[in-house]
Amino acid sequence: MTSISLQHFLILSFILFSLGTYAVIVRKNILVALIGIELILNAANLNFFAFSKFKNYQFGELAIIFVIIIAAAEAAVALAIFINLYRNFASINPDKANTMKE
Amino acid sequence: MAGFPILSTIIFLPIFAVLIILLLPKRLKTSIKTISLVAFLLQTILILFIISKFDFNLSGVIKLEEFQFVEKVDWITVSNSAQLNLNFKIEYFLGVDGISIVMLLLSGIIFPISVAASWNIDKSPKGYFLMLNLLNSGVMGTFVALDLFLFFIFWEIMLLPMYFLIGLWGGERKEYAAIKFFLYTLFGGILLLLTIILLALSSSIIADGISYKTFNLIYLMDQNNYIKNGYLSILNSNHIRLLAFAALFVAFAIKLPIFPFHTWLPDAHVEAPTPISVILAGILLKLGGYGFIRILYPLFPEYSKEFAFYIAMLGSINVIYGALCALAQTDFKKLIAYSSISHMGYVMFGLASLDQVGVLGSVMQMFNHGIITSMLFLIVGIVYDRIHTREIAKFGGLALKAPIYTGFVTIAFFAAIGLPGLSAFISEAFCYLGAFNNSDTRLFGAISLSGVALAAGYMLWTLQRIFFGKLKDNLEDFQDLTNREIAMLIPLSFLVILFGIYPSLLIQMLNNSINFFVIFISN
Amino acid sequence: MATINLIFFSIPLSAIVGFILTFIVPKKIKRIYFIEIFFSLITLLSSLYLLILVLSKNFSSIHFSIDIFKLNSNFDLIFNYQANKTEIYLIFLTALISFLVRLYSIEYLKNEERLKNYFVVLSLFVLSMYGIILSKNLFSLYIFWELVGFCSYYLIGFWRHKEAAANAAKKAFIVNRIGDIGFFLSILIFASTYKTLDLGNISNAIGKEIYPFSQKEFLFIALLLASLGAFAKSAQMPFYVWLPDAMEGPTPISALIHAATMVAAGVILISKLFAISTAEFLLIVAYIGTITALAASFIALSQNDIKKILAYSTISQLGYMFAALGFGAYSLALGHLIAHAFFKAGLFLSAGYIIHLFEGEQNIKKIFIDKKKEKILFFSFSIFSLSLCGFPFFSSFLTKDSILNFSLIFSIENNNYFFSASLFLASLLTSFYTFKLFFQIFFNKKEHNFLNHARHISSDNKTLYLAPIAIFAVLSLFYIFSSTPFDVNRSFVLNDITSELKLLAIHDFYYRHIDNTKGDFLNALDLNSLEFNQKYIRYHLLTTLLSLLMFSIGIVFAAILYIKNILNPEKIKKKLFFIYKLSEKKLYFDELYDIIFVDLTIYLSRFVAFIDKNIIDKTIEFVSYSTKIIALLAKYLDKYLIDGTLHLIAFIFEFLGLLIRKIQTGKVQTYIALSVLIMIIIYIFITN
Repeated sequence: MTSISLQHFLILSFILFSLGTYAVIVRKNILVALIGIELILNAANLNFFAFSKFKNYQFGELAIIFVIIIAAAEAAVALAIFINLYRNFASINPDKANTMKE
Repeated sequence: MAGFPILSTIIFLPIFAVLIILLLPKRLKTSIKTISLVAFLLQTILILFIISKFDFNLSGVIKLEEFQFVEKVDWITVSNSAQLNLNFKIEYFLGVDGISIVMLLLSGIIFPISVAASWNIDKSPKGYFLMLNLLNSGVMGTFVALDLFLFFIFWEIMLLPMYFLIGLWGGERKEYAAIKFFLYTLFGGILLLLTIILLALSSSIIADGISYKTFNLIYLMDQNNYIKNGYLSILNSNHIRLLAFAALFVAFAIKLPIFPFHTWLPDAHVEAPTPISVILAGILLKLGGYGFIRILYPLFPEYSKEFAFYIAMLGSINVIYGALCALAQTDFKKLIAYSSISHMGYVMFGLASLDQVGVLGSVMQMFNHGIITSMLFLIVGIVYDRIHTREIAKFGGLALKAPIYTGFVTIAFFAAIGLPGLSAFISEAFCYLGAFNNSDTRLFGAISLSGVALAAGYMLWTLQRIFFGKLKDNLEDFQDLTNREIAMLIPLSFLVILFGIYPSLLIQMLNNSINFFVIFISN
Repeated sequence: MATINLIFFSIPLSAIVGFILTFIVPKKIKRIYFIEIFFSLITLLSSLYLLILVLSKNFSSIHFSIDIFKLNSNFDLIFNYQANKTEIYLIFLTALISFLVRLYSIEYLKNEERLKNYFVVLSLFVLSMYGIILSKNLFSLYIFWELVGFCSYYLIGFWRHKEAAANAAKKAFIVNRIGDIGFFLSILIFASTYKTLDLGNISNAIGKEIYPFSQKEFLFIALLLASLGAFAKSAQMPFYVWLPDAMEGPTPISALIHAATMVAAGVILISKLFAISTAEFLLIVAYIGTITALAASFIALSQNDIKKILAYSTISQLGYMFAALGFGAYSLALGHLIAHAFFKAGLFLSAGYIIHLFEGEQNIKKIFIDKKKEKILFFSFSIFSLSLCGFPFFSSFLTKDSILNFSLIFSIENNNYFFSASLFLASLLTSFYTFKLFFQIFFNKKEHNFLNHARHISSDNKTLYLAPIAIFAVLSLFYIFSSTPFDVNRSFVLNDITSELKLLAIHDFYYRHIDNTKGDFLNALDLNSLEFNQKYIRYHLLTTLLSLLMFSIGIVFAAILYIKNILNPEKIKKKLFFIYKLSEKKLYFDELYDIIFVDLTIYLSRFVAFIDKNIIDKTIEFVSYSTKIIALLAKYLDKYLIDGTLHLIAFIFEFLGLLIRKIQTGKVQTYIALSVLIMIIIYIFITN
């Protein structure tokens, strides 16, 4: 069995990133979009970790901490926004909040 | 007295009257009329004064020093555009010679009479007399201006008052007639302007060491003043000179009017009020003839000689065509208008003959016809004032009710027919004599004689239909002439008879000028 | 010498002064005509004095000139006037007739309101007549010629409330005008060739063989044109149509103008041109004169109105005068003019008196006058009639007979018997219609009684009527011409006139001219040659007998038909129906002229006016219409093209804007997707 190299991590993080992007852009549920954002962030985390591990990138582990903290804060804010959004538009479909069009 | 600008006074007296009238309130109608009358009579007196002081031995025409009562002042001078080579010199240049003085005399006679004829205008007389005075200024100016620019200005000044006078105080189709007259004459004016500019551009005189382009007519008559190979110098071989001649010819032909540019005249005359018809026929038509003599012929003598045949042909077409159309009319005023066209034809072929007697006849015809046609239009106006129709079929037997009127009408009609003893005979006879002397125009002189019989035909037929025979029923209350009307007609009749019996009065005024004119053009 | 000049000049001067004074003096003054009577009396006495001078051979010519134009050119327009013996005779004639006519008019028109106008124009007429007689310059002649035409117009149409009178006046003037065109054209030809219009100078130039446009044919043309004026004025064929209609005017006017003077002006003109005439031209004159003489007398046969008969008679006698001129018998023509003037004026005045007696009735079928009641009238009328027919012992016998003689010689010389046959036939017809008139009035008592009784006129009024008539009657006898009734060669008048022909410098030219044309054209007669005199005497007796024969036939026929109705004229009329109709309808000239001149001209004028209004004027309106179309085009061009481009650009931007606006969907996910996309693109660009 080949040993797990940097590329494997990068590919995994890319896959996670794409899935996350897919969820943000395509899914019609803002909570799923939030999950997608978390996925993206985690994919970025994985990337940082991989580089920290394989290339002795010191900052990597630090960055992971930052990202996790910010992700948490951001999730809290996002959920607050989503509650307001639900109150105004009676739906969790982001397409329904389109009064800023044109 | 020598330096007193008497010509400018004559021209600007009506402007002065305009200023006074502008300040007067509208209701002072009589004052407005009186002021105009006084202004015009003053003009007449000044003109008579000029005639008395006039030296008839000087000929003028192209010789600067032989013009009299000259006023020559530099007016607009542009002298620094050396790089564009466009130094202009426009002068305020007035002067009279034998021909102008006769035309001035005619205007001086007709205008006061037209004021007398306008005495009963009740629709905004203030505006009417303003326009009339302006018109007078323009007319007087045109006859004495010797700078082309100044001439053009006065020419255009005459146009606008006429538009208003016809268009506001006229008959049923006054707007149509006014705009037709205005646009047609304006078109002629544009051709005139074009030619004037072309002439000025090709001229060159030296003054104070700078070479100027000039609008001065007398300088332009001298070929030495032209730029060699300029647009209109004789040496120039391209056809611009011919085109300029044609353009200027058309411009004056519209005024005269010459067939086929005459169609504005019946409408304008018929729809205009009586005093305006009088001025239009009596004076404005003569401007065309005057333009020919003063401007076209001296500036383009070689073409004038070359085309004499065609000019005479147009003249005789006028005579016969006008007479035939007159014969077919049922409207009295239109008949007189066509007879005007017919009589002005004599001016054309008399002039084309370039013979001393012929040209003399042509100028005399302008004067005589002015007086006679004024009388004729006054006569139509008298009838129209009373019955408000001009249809000949509605008249009959007026001699029974208005014998004095019939007497004046007889004089006027026979003068129009050309009876000897009345002025038009001499001028028409001279035109024929002149036309016959010149081999180019001989044929047309002979052809035009048939117009004589036609004139007798339509005039006598009209005389009979309107005045003789039984009185028509609707004419029971026809009044004979009022004093004002008699006062208008008597001086005209007197002049018609005077110049018929004693034509040498006119001939003496014109002899030298015309002699010189003929000699000049023939070379 | 000075007295003669003074007396001579008093003639035109008193005419002028009389005219002016009568014109100026206001209408209200009663008996305004006394001014005119006074001045015309002065004229009469002066001309009588001059006449006596002429008769006693103490007269020499008078010349004067007026420079009316003062032209400074080589063109000579000075008016020259001359008075030779011929002119003195004619002036005396005019003065006497006009004086008597004025006296007559006072009575005839005494109730007329416009009497002043009548006398003014009458005096203008007489003045112009003097002008015509005295003029030596063609232009001056033309001026007075036209003036005479105007006076004729006014006086014919004097009663202007009558439609017929106004029409007649207009017709007269227009026909005269047409002739005058010819006259004026000939003046133009002469003027342009000779630079002068003085007949003496022109004659001199022609004598030197200077012809208009250097061709002799043009001299003929010029003369022919001038003669058109003469023919129109003297009512010859084919211009005669105005004279019968002119009878609408007052009778004294018919007497003065249309019998004695104005219509004679044509003869006077041709006689003035006689010195420069060519043989061909005189031939034309002879033809016209002869044809007229015959045709007019033919028409007169069927007329029943006194004045119309007299009018046609005038035309016929004028034809004799022109024929005489055409044969070369200058003095006979003028002599016949003088004789004719007197008896024709007398006839017209008598006619006026008769019409007055019957209160306006002019048809001779309805008039009868008892000769015992109106003796003076009867005697005068018979004298006039006999003179008209050329009966011996009366004035016109001398002239008319000689004219007939001349015509005979002329015809024999040239083997063309048209002239003599026509003239003799005409004299037959003349005597017929003359005596038809005479017998109808005085011998043919009509059935209805009330028409037979003429009005009674008080005797003092009658004088003014009858005195002139009587005077004319006296003047219609032979002795005014000659001491013997039969010998024309002893006529002092004619000899005086002929002697002047000898005095004219062109006399030689004329005869020389005839010699040149012998054999080519019909020969004019050389009055002075011996052989002519012999022929004259040889044929004279024949002529006299023939003319007496014609006279007798005529009078007998007239007597048969009209005295006591021996033969019924009605039956004759029916038999000769076509000829009668031809005569009655005046040879259908009026109808012909109506179609040719009047209708044609009116149609032509309507056509021309139609062209003017609908074609030429429409051209102008077309110009204005097309200008309007162009303006409309410009408006649309402006609106759609130029403005449109602007709008197009604006539209494009708007469209683009619309398109781009669609990007703003309002959906977050779209924005996110877009920003991801663009970041990728930017990344690719940066790393490349």
